Amino acid sequence: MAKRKRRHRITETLDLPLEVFPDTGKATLLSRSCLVLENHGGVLEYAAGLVRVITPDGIARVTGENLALRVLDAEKIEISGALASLEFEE
Amino acid sequence: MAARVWQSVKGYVMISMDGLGLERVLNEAMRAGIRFGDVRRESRARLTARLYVRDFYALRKVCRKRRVRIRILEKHSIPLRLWGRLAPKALIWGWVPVLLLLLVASRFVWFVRVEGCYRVTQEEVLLLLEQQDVKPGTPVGELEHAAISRAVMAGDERIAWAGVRRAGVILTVRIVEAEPGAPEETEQKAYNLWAAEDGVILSITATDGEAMVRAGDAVRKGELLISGAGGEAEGIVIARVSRQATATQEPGAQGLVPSGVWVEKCRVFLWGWEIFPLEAGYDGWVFQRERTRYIRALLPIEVAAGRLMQMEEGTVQLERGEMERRARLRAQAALLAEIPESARIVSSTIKIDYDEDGNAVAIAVIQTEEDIGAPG
Repeated sequence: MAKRKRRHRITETLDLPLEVFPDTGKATLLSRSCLVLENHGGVLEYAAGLVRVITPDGIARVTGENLALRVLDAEKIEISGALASLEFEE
Repeated sequence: MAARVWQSVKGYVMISMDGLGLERVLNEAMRAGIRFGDVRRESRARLTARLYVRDFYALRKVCRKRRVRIRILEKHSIPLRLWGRLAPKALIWGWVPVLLLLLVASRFVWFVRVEGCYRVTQEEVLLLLEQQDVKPGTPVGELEHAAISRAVMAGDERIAWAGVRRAGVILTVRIVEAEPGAPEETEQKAYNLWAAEDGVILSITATDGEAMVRAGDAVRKGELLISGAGGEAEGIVIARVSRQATATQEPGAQGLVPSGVWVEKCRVFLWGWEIFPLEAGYDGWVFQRERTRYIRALLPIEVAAGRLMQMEEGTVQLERGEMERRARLRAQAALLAEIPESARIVSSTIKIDYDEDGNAVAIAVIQTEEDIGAPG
């Protein structure tokens, strides 16, 4: 948590994007049908209506229908389907 | 899009994974560098995914540890699809060049065999044939069997008859060596005839004197064969004589070895023939290849880079085949020198063995039928 706050302070002071830190979690939403999660820590749960992924900011909980993992490798997860929500569990 | 095309070129498989805790397997596989595509949950204990063929084998190891069953559902790749469409045609059309090649190859002699050699060596007959342009690679149409036979017979007076037969690409030359001439008459008067060699008597004809042995008897060298009984002894005693000779060939022999002077060269060959011959001054130099590349776009062109080495006299290490050949020739030559001109060779065998020093040892045994009566 302290590390995250320190990073936030640095980027705010220097007016830099958070992405300059390579291990920062990143979630990109492309329309309602595709979500890309980068720098993840693995899949906790995967079902057709729910995907839970470990990220540096906590567990990302993605809900929807017919969810599929279009790309799944050590760097990123691309979730496709009818996305309903993205929440973070602490 | 590009990724999908690349995946199709490389080839991928659709798989199913059955078991519990599949998420754990996915995470472990990701850590092992495996990349999944189109992962879909089919049921609580089953999901499907797309994988590169290479990754499939890596995933199998992970699944084995986690007791998850993995199965290939579909295989996809452009080469596989093309092969499926083109294979039947390729198989049919592939036969045409093969048959043509066989047809062309069958118009040449590729193997030359020599049979019936005892005193005359195979190498000598092959040399005679080479002088008549008969060697592996000679077109069948250029072979005149009668002319070859005549040339072989004329080339060596020890050859009484030579026959040539071709079976497909194999040319067999059978020779019959000339029968030995009658032993020279000696003016010297003999009072007894003694055995000049150990042997088994085949026939004995005493024209003067008394025969002391009979056909079938084994005699030792120096044994009395025909006794003159105070008068003269004369006759012909034909016996089967067995002679043995041993020759040793060491692994090292005098020959040409690199002198240490060499130049880097790149040479281009087409079907084994050099396209750009070497400039003058390299006669006797030996080319040692280091890298060879084949350009098979249209013609089988071979580009070889390596060292052109100057050679000088020195000690060369012989290969086993060469050691055996040299030992065999020396043993055979030693035996032939012992055999009288009038003897008829009935069998010849050579065995090769190796001693503890690694030398090749040839043991040659020749059986002859010859007149062993020596006056005395």
